[in-house]
Amino acid sequence: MKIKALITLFIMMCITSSLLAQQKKDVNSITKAEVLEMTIEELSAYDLEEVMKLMDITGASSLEELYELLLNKDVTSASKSEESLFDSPLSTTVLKQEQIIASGATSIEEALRLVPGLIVREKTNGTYDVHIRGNDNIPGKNMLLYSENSNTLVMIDGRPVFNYSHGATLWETLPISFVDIEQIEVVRGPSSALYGPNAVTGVINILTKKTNSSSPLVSANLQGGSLNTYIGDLAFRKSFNEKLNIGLTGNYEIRDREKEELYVYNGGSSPEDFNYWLDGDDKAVGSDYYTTEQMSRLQLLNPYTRNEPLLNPKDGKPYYLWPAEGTNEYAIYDTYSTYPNPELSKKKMGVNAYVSFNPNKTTTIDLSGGYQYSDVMTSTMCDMPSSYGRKDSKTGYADLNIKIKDFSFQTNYNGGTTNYAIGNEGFELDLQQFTSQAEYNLKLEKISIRPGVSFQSMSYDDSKHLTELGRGYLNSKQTVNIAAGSLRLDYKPTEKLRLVAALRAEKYNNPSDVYGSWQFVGSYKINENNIFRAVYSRANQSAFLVNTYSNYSWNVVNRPYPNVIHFDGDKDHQLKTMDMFEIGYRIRPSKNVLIDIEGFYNITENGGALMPDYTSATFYNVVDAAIDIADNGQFDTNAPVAIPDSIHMTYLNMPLKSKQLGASVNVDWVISEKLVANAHITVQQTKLDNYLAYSRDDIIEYQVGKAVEQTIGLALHEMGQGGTVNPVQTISSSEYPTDFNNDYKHESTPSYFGGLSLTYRPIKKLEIFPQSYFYGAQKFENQYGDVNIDSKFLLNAKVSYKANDKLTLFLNGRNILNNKTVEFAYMDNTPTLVLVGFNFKL
Amino acid sequence: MKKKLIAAILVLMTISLSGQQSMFKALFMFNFAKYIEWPKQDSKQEFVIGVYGNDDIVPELKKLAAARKINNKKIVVKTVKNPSEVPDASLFYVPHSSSGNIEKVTSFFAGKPTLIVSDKADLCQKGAGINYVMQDGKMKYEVCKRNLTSHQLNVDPKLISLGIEIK
Repeated sequence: MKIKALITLFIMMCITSSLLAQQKKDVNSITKAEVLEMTIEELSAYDLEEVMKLMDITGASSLEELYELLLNKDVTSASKSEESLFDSPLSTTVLKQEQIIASGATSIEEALRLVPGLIVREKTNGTYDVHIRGNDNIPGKNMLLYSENSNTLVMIDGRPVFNYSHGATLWETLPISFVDIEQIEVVRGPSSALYGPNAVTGVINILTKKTNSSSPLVSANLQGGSLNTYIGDLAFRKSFNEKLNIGLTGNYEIRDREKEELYVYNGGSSPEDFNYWLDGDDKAVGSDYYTTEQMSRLQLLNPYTRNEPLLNPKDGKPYYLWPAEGTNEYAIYDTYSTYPNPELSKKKMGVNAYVSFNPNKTTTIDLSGGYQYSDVMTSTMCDMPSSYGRKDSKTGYADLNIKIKDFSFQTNYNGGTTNYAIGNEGFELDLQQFTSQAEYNLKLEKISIRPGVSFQSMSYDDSKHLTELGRGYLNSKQTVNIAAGSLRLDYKPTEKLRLVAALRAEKYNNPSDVYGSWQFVGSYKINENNIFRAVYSRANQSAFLVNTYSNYSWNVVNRPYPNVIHFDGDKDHQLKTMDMFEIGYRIRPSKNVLIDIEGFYNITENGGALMPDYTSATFYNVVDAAIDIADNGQFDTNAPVAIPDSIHMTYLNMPLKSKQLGASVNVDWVISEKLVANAHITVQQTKLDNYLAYSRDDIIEYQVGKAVEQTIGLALHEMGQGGTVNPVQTISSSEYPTDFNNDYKHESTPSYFGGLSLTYRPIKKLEIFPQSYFYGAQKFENQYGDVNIDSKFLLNAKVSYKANDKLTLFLNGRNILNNKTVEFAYMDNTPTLVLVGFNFKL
Repeated sequence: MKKKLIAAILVLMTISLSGQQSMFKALFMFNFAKYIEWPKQDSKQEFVIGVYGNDDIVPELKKLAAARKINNKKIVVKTVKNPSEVPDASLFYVPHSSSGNIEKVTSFFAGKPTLIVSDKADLCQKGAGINYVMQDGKMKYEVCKRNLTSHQLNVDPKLISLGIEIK
């Protein structure tokens, strides 16, 4: 019996082993189809090394990498702690370095076209206007300065890279490049409660790479092509051990514009209203593109004869728009010193060093420092007859970031010199910016409590760059100090529900006031694949140096009038504030699709601008005009002749209120390991209340008109009483128009904008990335008129060939449909670029 | 209609491929156990695998549990919302989506003979014994001997040589 049982067992073992032998195929000859047909039970017969080979055959892991890269990202900027992007309580997008490189974007700003809710317009080759959701060019009908985005806080590793002098971000002064970047995190919506002032429409936080044992020793990106465009960066990274890591990076970029000519505006658009005289060619001309040589010959046209230049009665000479250097004591710019290389659009370089020291598991010390130089031709930041301006900057920074368990401390310095308008005295400033902040994240069972304090000090000083005091707008060193305390509570009463409250109070030296900002968020995670959230938040701008401390008298020499314009800041002005309500929904209908929907409504108030608050004029024919109007209430023979003499500009808060309603949808879809798609679109509508459709010149004209009215009224009264009236009088007025518009449609922001992209990998070594960016038509309101910007569909494409693990070669086409229409008012046509290059790592 | 059909097919294709990925992770885990020595626990009749939250790996592990044993013990797969639900787990898996709870897991199992497997970059530095990572388009795993030893687990050098050693 026992023997029988043993024989039976032996036979069974033989059968089983032969069956198993049949099932377990040789991993070196097995096909993908055969692996895919196998069950997990069958596969479990293979050992670990064989399973790894089988997995490679199926290619399943590359798909996982795509999920990891595109759909399962982490983010830290939305809650100041690392969390899954899917769980982020705010409208958040993360752009990984790999995505940026794959897209073919040639700058950080251009890469932001991949992010929903961002409006990115190219001004000149490689210089951009970047806005989150909109609220751009408010107040309109003003200088181009007010089109700069002063509502978004851009940071590198939490260090603000913001221009507190005028407001806005000078993107070209960012010292880093793609090789430095780990990921860019974009948080849409007011975020001052987390990051301090200027995070009004949102935050763009660029996180740099941390060196570790798997970092390549050398990595580099280089591309070059059309319009003398060369863009390159290089990094060395070394991990000595798990405690000490260092990195050293450098970048260089140079580009030419698509034309050499520069736009001169306010010159009229048809022969009947031309304002300029082109000396040498001896003809009346208007607003147009001119070479710098032609610009040096532009003079004001005599408005009466219209066939000769207007002559200055004081010296009999014409009024040059750009007087030659040394023409007179107030000559502050000529075309050649203002635009030394009109063909160059951008030149920048930067070097950065990173040291990371982790003495133990719970302590990290990151120290970084660097230097940048930049020189760009883009929209002017001062008030010149041309829309173009050159800016250059030389700055250095140091940033220390310490984390010990749940305590974090960051302090940084940024200093150097920036010239906001080369060739214009008064626009070159030394800057010193300090920021320090400390936070502690107390984590309890269901609640995290994060109290924090911060101090910022931003000093700007133009005095060292002036030929004499009085010619700058500060004429001294001036400082904005901000001391702040904050508290963030993150409460998870259940697995699904999350409630966040963040509060911050800021005390400014000027305006001497305390500003509060906050964020209240509720999110409900219905299940692993659905999350709903609602946000109410408030944020504010900081004080800027120009708005607060301007003290500048401009003796106008190249215009017939006025003689003097005085600019004054207001130390007690109110800071611009935005309130936002937002709802959001994220859904993962299947593992390979992520859809993110957000709807928002925001109200912005307390904006302002340097505007005329007082105009003084000389009224040359008071008596004649009064007599003329006395008979029938009209000027028949003696229209009043009143010429503005001096204008007092002050930073004035405006009653203007902007109301924006909009929504964004973003879809990421990993269709297969060969094909990935992304689409995003934002639709919005902005309306303005208390909108005054007056430019600065219109206000001056209005104030002169009011002064004339009052003077004639007084003259008639005096004459009626039998008194004598002085026929030439100095008159003045500070009256303001009151014909406010409500529900005025603000069309500077396109009603829709978005992007589409596909990543197609027909074979492992080849990647094709077509990408489009589109926006609807806009109307840009400037002090010299409205500019209609056509809707646009831009198409870019990059083809990459991965020669081996170390080297990828690529061909990169930007604007390949050659759609040249301007994206930003008065700026260059969009060029088409064809670039070749490589990415290398060792 | 045709386009919709193609889209649906593409989605199905992707889902099946992602299923492959979870299957390989489960197979890896099953194989890890062959190279790791747990302290003698004769009283234990079951090899308990805890999984933090719902994850595609669970059905794959259950299929394996039905067909195979580990160290001659029946494999039991439990999905939990808190590690305290499986105090006797020999292996505890923290999927990518639950990575935020890694510290909760490591502190709960501190010193216990439990192999903690995770699925997100840098989690070995936070206490995981083995961690799945993506490198050059391939799924690989990191092994931290220090973290295994602290859980009374002995590791075969072969497992380390096939993976990426984190010191």
